[in-house]
Amino acid sequence: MSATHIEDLAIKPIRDLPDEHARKPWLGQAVGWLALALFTVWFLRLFLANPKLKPELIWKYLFNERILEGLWSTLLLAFYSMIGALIFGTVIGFCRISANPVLRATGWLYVWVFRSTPLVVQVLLWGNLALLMPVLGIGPFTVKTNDVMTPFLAGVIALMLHEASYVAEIVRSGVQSVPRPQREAADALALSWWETQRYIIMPQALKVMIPPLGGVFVLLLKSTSLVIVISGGDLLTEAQNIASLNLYTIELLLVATVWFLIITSIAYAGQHYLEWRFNRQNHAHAGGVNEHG
Amino acid sequence: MSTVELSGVRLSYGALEVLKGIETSIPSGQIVGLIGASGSGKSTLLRLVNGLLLPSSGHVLVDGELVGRKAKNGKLHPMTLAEIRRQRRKIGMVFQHFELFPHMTVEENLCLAPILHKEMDKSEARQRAMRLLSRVALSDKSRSYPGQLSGGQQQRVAIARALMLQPSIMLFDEPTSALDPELVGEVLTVMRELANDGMTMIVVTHELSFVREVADRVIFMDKGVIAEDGAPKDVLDNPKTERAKAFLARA
Ligand SMILES: Nc1ncnc2c1ncn2[C@@H]1O[C@H](COP(=O)(O)OP(=O)(O)O)[C@@H](O)[C@H]1O
Ligand SMILES: [Mg+2]
Repeated sequence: MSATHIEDLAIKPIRDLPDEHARKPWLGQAVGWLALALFTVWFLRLFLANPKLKPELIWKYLFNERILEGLWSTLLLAFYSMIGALIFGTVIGFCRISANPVLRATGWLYVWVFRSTPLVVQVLLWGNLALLMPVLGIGPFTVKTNDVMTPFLAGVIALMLHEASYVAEIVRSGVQSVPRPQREAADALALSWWETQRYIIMPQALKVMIPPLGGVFVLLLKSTSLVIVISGGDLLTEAQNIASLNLYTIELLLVATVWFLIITSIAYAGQHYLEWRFNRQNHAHAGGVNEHG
Repeated sequence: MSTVELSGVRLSYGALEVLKGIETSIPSGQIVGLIGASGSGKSTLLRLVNGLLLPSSGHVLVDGELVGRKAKNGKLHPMTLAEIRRQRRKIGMVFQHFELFPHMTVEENLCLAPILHKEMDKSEARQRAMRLLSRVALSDKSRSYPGQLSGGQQQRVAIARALMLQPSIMLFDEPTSALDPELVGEVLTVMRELANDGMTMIVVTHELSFVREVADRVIFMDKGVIAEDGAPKDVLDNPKTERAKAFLARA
């Protein structure tokens, strides 16, 4: 195409074109929403209109004292094991990227073992520790295993050790996401290893780590239900205990379902909030116009 | 008095020998332009001076003091990490890609190291930071984040940051190579002023006009050895070795 042609095109007025943009067709959208609503109602009726189900029992047991106790145990299980997993997983994560080959192998072995075995097996192993070691301690300081290793504690330990392997991988990839020269700059300023991690690496790694850590916590909330296999006293255990007496099994499972929907939704909301906050911070750092001079 | 001395310095990465016997000394206040093809060992040499690397054999001395090693019972032993860090404080380093800490403001970037090293309290550090920022003409940027600055501004901040610990030597590793051409000048201006103030400087650079104008001396490295060493006009205009001729013809 010759240069004159291009100029012709460039100055050609576009006043033939209409100004207004057509609205998006709303009919299709509306039909979609309606279909979803109808399907949901039909699905719920399948349950609620079923003569074998007593929906009022769900409401009645939702705030039952033992259910609330179970709910509290579930929250504590998740909370304690998350704290433990954060601390322990960070240590393992740093082992994985250590310059020391022994530490690296240790970290790798740990992650491999705990990620390659089902969590429910790990819960059972900790819950039945007394079979292997009836007493714990050294010399005169011993206790009967079953006195200290309550189902609750066994649950916390099993969940903590398992989640730590996930946290370790998140920490590892977070730390590795910080470009190497940042470390060199810190070295050149004569910062120590710890100062470098604390002030340079971790603040940058955390931005990458927050979303997956939130995901781990939400998964953990749901995984707490596995302690039912050692009668861990969590929400699901309590629901099952009640059901074993009154035989309203489905109603009580639905009670547990409702509570899980509520607490995981809150956790999701928290995760989104953290992500949003960290993204906003990133923009404050990276955005902006360059004025030279 | 020599500020930097290298004698018989060799360095290998595994089987790859990168520096093959470096012999030189740099007097206090000298500005050295370090040139040479990529991979000739320039960055490695800078890292030896501030103890980020230790030589496989030979000695590196700064202000007459052995870098990273100490003599004990007739043998050389590596220093502890804390001892090496203490030595390193008096050597400033500036990188090709600035390496400012993106999550900290300009002022925080400057104040972090001196405060952690307890060389200054917070208000002293802040005052010194403001003085240095005005020296690099960035007084108004103390509260900005690095991502909000142009490359030239970031590199000037990086220079100010390196000056916070009051170094006796400044090392520059291709400080203008990552900059758009129109931003190179402002960084070179800052470096020129620093040179005029009597700072000892080793500058790895491809800016031969800057070297010609500012440097007292040019070292041309080739495959891990010093191939040419002399006054800028001698080395740049009348190189003796074929390698230097070829390199300068390309540059
Ligand atoms: N950490 C390292 N491990 C292995 N080889 C390296 C490392 N750093 C640099 N080298 C090699 O050493 C040689 C010299 O590198 P360098 O000092 O960076 O050269 P220059 O700065 O002159 O381009 C190059 O061949 C490079 O590949
Ligand atoms: Mg280099």
